[in-house]
Amino acid sequence: MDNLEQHLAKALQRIEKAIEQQKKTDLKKEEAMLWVLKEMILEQNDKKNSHPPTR
Amino acid sequence: MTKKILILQLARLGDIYQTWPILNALQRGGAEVHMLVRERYAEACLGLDPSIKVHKLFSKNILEPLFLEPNEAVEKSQARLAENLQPLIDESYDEIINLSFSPLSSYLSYLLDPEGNSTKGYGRFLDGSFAIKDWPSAYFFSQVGIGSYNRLHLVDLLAMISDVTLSDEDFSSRPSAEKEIDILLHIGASQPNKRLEPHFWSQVIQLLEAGRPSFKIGLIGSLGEKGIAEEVQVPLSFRVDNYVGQTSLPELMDLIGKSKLVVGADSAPMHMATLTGTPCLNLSMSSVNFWETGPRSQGSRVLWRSQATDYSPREVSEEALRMIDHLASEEAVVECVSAAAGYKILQWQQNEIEWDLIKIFYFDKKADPYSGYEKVFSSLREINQLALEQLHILSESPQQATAIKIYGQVEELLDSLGRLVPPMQVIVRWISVQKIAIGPAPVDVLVQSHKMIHEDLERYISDLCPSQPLQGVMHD
Repeated sequence: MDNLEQHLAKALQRIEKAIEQQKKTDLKKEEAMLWVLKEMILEQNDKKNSHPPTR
Repeated sequence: MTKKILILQLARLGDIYQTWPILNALQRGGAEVHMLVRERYAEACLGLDPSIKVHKLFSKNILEPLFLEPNEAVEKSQARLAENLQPLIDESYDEIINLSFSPLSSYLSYLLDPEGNSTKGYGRFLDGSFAIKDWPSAYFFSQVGIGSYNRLHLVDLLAMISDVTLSDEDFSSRPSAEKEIDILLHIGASQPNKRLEPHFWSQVIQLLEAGRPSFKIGLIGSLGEKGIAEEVQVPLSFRVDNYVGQTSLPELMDLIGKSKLVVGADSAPMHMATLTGTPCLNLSMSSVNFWETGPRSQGSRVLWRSQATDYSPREVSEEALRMIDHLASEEAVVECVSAAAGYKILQWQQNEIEWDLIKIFYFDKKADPYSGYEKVFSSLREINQLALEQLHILSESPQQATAIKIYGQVEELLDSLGRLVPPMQVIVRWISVQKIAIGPAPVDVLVQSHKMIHEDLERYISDLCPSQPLQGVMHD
C-alpha cells in the first residue's frame, strides 16, 4: 500500500466512524456533510459508487 | 422577477462542456445562471458568457485536514466544506438543478436545499434515502451508461432535467473562425480503453499525406498525452503541428474553431468542437456510448468498431477526406443533422428491441405485440402475477411475513430474467427505478405504490403480448 492509499484509507476510516455515530435519526446537516466527505475520499481513491447508495 | 438558478456540474471536463448549451438556454430564458464545478475542472468554464457566475468546490482544501491533521480532522474538514457551501446558501437560489448524477452531488444538493422543494436531479429525502424527483433523472439512473441501450444524448437529457428546449444557437459559443487547419487529430482519450495506438495515428497521417500532401494537420491532446504524441511518427515532408500538452483549454478551443475537422475518440475535444461548430469524425467503440456522448456539431459522423484494434487507418483517413470534400459517408453509423436536432442513422441496427422497449416504457410509444418473445413475456407475466398477489395480501395484512418474503424474491426473479434475456433488462430497470422514486412513506402507501407499478407493468405486457390473457391477478 503506497502512502496516498494509506492516507485515503485512514481518512475513510475516520469518516465512516463519524457517520456511524451520527446515523441514528433523520439525515442531519452534519451527517450529510460526512457523506460528502466520504464520497470525495472514494473519488480520490477512484472507488466511487456507480450509483448513489441508499441508506 | 429574474429567476436565480444554480447548476451543479461536478463531473469532468467533457460534461462541463456538454452543460454549456443548457446554461445558454437557461440564460436565454431570462434566468440568472450560476454553476458549481470542481476547482480542478473549472478551466472548462473559461469562455462561458461572463454573466454566468461560476463557483468552485475546493475538494483538495476540504479534504486536507482529513489527510494531514492528527486531531479533530473530521470536524475541520466539515468546517471547510460548510465554509465552501455557505456563499451558495446565501445566494438563496430559486432553483437548484443537479446535473452531476453522482452520490456526492446527491448529498450536496441536500445540503443546499434540505427540503428539496426547489431542486431537480439526484438528491436525498429527509431520512437520507436517495431521491429522484424528476423522470429524466430516473431515466438516467435506470437506462443510461455503458452496457445500457439508451440512445438519448447526454445534452438532451440535461436539457430535459433543466426543462429547456435547446436551439442551435445555444450550442454556439463563439463566432466562426477562419479555417487555418485542415484536420486536428486528437490522439488520446480520457480513458485507455477509448484510445487508439500511436502507430495507428502514424499510419493515418501517412495516408493523409499521400492523399493531400498540402494539408495542414495538427495533433492535440493533454499534457499527460505528450508521450503518445512523441511516439507518433510523422513523415518529414509533411506539415504536422504538435500541440499536445501545449495549450490551455481556451487555446485548444480556439484551435478547434480554426479547424475544418477534428478526428478522435470519444473525449472532451469532441464536446469542445460541438461548441465551435467544427465537424468531428468520432472513432467510437463499445467502451463508450456515442449516442450519449458523441459530437453534436452539424455534419459530424461517428464510426463504430467493437474495440480500438478493429479500426483500419485507411478507413478512417478515407472517411476524413470524404468529410472534408463534403461527400456522402461510406462508413459512419450516424451523422449529426444539427447540434439541436442530433443524429440521423446511416447504418446502425444494434439493440433495436431494447430501444423500442425504452420508448414504450419511458416515452409513451404505443406498444405493439412482439413476435418471438411470447415465452419471455409469459414468464414476466407470471412473475408479475406473483408480485401482485403478494401486494394484495400485504394491502390487507401489511406484516404478513410470507408475503413479504415472496415479494422480496420477485426482485431476484426479475434480475434473473434480465440476465437470461438482455432486452428484459430495460423492463427490470424500469420497475426498479419506479420503486426507488417512491421514497420513504408509510407501509400502506408503499404497498399501494408498488401495486400501481406492477399493474402498469401488467398493462404493458398485455399490449406487448396480448395472446395470453391474465387470470386472477388484478385485485382492485
